Amino acid sequence: MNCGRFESMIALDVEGDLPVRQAMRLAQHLENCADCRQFAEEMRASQAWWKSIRREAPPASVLAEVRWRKPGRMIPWPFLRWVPLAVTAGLFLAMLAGMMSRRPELVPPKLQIAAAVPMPPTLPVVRVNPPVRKRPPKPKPEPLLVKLVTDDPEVVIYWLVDHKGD
Amino acid sequence: MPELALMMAADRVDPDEQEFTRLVKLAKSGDSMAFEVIVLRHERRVLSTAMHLLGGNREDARDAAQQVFLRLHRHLGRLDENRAFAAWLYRVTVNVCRDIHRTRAARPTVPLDQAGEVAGASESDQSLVRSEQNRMIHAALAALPEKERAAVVLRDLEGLTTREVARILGSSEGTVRSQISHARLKMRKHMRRSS
Repeated sequence: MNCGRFESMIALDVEGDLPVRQAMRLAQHLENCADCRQFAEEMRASQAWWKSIRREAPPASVLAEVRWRKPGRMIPWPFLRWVPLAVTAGLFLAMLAGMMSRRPELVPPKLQIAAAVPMPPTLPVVRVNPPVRKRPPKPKPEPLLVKLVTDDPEVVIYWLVDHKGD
Repeated sequence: MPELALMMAADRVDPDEQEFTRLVKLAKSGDSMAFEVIVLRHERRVLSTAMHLLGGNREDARDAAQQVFLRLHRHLGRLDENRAFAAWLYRVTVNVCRDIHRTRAARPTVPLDQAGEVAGASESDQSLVRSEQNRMIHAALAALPEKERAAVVLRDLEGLTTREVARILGSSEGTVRSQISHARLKMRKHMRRSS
């Protein structure tokens, strides 16, 4: 009899994980198969053996360390692993910023002049001072003539007054 | 508040869902004491699950537990207090342990304190045998494929139902049953070899 497929069923049945219909089928098989009954016994022993570590309590020292390092108390060490990376990235960015600041200013590209167009002769550049414009002289104000008329029509007084009022 | 008083407070509190919901609400509002009580209530469970998932390595289990509570602290605001908190915590523990296991797989180590414990002269013969047996069981567990180990630890050691395990691992019940069956058969082989 090929019992291979029943082994995986037994592995589930020992902890009650086998669906009801399959469990019934397995029970029928176990009634007639001594090898599978032996296998089931071994499976139970194996489960008891390895499940014994369930009784193993976490060591108090490790618990204390977890408590000591819990969030909000100190910087968690896994984050400390990122510190060298962050420092390296910072240095790299600083170097990059330094290089960017020292980069030469952009020079506009030289104009490409077609060969057919003759190049004008290069003339020496002479610096010429712009001519100084002279202000036109201010015209002298003409003296003011004041005419004083008296009661006597024969007598008229003329008074010359300059721009200063003298 | 000293640690001892906190532990006593955690033990006195009736661990029903209503009380837990209240604690989560308080912790969400920034009550650090409430958060500490939550941690104290679950630290043993998280630590022992992590130890089983990480082949009994205490250092790794301690780091895993710390990361689990760190994630809890970080995601507290998004945590739905009406949903199964234990399932959420198990899921995070499994994920954290999987990450740690993958990271350390390349360089397996035996912590010195554990090695010393096995060879310790002060221990009685019985506890020496017990320590050695535990070491063998952890080694057998560590030899299981990742998913089978998680399934069998949650089902057989943590006592969850197949449906709960399936929900935590994001698999179907049939898949989890198959993983559990394979894992138990492999553990039996280990036991035969060791005896």
